[in-house]
Amino acid sequence: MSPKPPRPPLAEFELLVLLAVLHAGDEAYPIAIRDAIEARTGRPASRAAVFITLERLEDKGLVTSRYGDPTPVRGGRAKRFFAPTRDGLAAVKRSVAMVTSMTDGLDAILRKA
Amino acid sequence: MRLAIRLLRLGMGRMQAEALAGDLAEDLARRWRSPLLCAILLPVLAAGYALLGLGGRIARLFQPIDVKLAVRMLLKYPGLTIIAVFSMAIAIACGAGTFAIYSLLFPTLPLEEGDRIVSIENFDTRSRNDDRQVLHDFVVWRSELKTLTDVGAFLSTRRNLITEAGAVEPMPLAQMSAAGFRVASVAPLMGRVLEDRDEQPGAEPVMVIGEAVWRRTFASDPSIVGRTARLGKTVHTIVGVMPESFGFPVNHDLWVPLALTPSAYERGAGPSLDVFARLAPGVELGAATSELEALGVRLAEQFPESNRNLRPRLVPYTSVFADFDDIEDLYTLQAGAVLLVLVIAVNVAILVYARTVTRAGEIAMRTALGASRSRIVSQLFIEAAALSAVAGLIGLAILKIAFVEMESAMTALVPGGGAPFWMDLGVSPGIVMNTAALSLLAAAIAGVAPAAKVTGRGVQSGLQNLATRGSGLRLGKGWTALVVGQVAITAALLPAAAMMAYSTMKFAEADPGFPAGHFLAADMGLDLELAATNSEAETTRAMADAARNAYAGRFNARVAELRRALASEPGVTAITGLWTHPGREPNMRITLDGSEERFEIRFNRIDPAYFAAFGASIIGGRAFTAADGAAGTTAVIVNQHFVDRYLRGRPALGQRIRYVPNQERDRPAMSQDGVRLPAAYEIVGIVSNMPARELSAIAAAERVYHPMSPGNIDARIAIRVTPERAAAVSQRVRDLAAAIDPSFRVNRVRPLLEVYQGDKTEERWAAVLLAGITLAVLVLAGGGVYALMSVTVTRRRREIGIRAALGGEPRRILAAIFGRALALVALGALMGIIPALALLQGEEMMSGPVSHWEITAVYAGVVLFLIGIGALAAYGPARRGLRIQPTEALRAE
Repeated sequence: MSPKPPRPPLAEFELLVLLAVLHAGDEAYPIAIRDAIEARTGRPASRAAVFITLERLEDKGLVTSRYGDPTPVRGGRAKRFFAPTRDGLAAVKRSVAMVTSMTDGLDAILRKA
Repeated sequence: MRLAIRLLRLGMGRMQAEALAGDLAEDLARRWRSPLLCAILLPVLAAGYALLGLGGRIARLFQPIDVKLAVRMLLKYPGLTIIAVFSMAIAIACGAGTFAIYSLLFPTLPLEEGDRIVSIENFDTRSRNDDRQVLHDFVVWRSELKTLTDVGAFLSTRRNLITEAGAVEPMPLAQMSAAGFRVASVAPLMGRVLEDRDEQPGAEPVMVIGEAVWRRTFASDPSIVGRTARLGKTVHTIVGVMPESFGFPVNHDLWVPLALTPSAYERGAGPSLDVFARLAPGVELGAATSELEALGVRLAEQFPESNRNLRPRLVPYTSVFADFDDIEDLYTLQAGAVLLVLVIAVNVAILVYARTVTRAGEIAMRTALGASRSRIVSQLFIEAAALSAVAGLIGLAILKIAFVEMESAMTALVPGGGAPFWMDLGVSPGIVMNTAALSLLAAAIAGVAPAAKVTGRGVQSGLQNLATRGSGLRLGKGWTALVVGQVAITAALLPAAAMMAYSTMKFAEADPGFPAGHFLAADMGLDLELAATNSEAETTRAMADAARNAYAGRFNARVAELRRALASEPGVTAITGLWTHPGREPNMRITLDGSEERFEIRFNRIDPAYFAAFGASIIGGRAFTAADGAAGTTAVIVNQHFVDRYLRGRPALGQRIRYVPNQERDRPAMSQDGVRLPAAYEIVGIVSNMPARELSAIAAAERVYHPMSPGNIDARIAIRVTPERAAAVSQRVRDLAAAIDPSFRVNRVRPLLEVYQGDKTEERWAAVLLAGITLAVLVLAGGGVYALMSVTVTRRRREIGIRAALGGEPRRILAAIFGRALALVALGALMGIIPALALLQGEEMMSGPVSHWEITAVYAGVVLFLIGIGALAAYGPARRGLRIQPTEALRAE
């Protein structure tokens, strides 16, 4: 059998969503994920973009989802919580490492900017 | 909330939809305080997310690898690819072509609010035609209709455009109400458009020219406005230049005011006008129609003599110029074309099914490994889509070629004209969309139907049979019936197509047996000195005898002068006057004195130089003399064919002939020059057959020639000229004519060969189309037989193996199977006989007599050909069947 081809690196927004999933922990449902992105990056994130990205990450096997218990505040609707898979964590690690390795030695320049 | 969940369910699973609805509700509640606003926004957002989810689902079904696989399949089965792509390309081109015709004939005018521009026509309930001599009614419409604005009219005519420098160019032009420029609402490039004051009696003659004329004839003179040029004898001031894109009312490039003088005509008389208008702001078509109809009723009561049968009506602007009287014809054509796509797609489905059957094992295996049915169907759909996409592209290319041909044909047909301004003879986005839709339809049928069948109940048996390498799938009765149907359609179409191809080939060369390349054909006209005029022929028909004769006298004097001037031109060897060119004479019917039998003949009017110019000679009696040209002459000359076939030994000279009257189709020819025709004519001479070869199989070869009379106003001349001088003489004809009289025009001068070739265009296209469709059906029939046999061999592989193992001769086993193929072909051929004979009958009417022997021979040839194709198609599967080794086939038993 041929070896598994390496996964392409995460897109920027995919990385942000995955990191937000990690930050949100047990409360990682779409709205909390979007809030985490907006709070930490200061950039607005659209609901639809987060929704599509989560679906795509799940298709790629980088996150899994489960349904929580229905809550009265949401009209009795359950939340869908997301968590990274092992592959997802590895992908985050790889992407962060790539950025870090690229920024190594640029501290002086970046501080001035 | 429930509605939102329901909407979301369209694009995703239940739990997912509920969770997302909860998210959306929570998010909205955080942003908007008003619960009402949240309740309204929630379903709207849900609908959007449902679409996103649905798109994602569909996208997930198709994977990029499918396209790669599909392309690989195209290459792996080249036979299927060629057959399917070729036949689908033709069907798609036909389908998209009919939609293109619709948008060409009934487009939205490319003008501001073009859909609110209408034509008014006066429909005559008695003749079932629209009456265009509407001068008096037009004046009433213009002044009284409140629901229509800018009611105007135009008529097309021709004039010599003579510049200050003396350059002469015969030009088509529009005499048009100033309202035409308001309706079109296009700003001039320079100067101004025509205005109402230009139409007033005594106004200075002005004209507006198009950008193309400005560039070509006036060398883009920047100070053109205010300069003068002559149209015939009248000097006009150029007041404006219109941009090139402006062709209103049809394809015009030169406009003069339409000055009308109703007082000069009685009701129902006058020039033929096309009337246009724009719906008043806020007015709907229905309201305008009601007002117009009410006015029509009033006019009919007021003027029963002229208006009793006239019903004015509003029609879309362009429909006046379309040949289709009834839009339903076009719908039928479109339905037919879509049906053709469906039929061919179903045929391709059979072929794809046959291919899919051979992959039953692979499909069963994938199903067992967890591939969903929709995943497999979508992959097979992509394979079919690859076929139909290639077919669609080729179909578009075919259409593009057809458009280019059509455009050049149109330019050739309408001298100085070309396509109307609203016709966009290009591959528009609409046509591309249509082609894509048809391709998708074809792919859906050719891909999904076989895929659904293969992945249906048969999948299990496919898996069971995997070990034995056979297939439990089979072609049912429906498929078999289709193959028989294909053979029947082919058998029905092929004989007529073969006959048509034969006659087209026979007559396509346009070789009349005399050197047509050495002749120039010139059509002439003389301006009528009336305020508003149509073509001279049309107007003179309505003129009083004396006025017409005077006009004809002036015209013929100028033609004679032109001929005299041309005779001394170098290279000119003969000049003759004629009503129509040899080989293009219309058919008419006559009877011979003393007999009721009717004979088909072809009719022409010629001058005494005609026979010599075209190399024919008098072989009996006498030629025409100048004295025969007198009005009321009864002398005619007939050709050798006439004598041989109609007189059958009776003496020709002195024989009297009569035209069969009251035939609608004869009228235009008979009344062409308005001369009252005598009741009977006497044959005074016999001429050798000319042209030696007929250009069309349709018309009779027996000819009757009449002498030209001074009353003719539609004479042409044919000039025999040495080929190297042809171009120079063409230009000289124009210059000489204008020098004789500025109002004397040579409308068109071109090589006679070009005239003949132009006549063949339509025939050639019909033949190409028929040949294409027939070939597509033939190829599909062959493919169908192949598919049927191929599947049968695959399915009966084990049976063949067992019978061979039990001592059966493989050849005999196969003969039993292939006997079925031959039976199917024979059945189809039998079913095709009756429609084939009917088609041949129609073909006979179109392209001349065909004997029963010829029909039988053609049909027998076609059946043999079909059997040959069937045998060829069965050959591949037969070889596969013969190669089956009993041990191999039975290994799993």
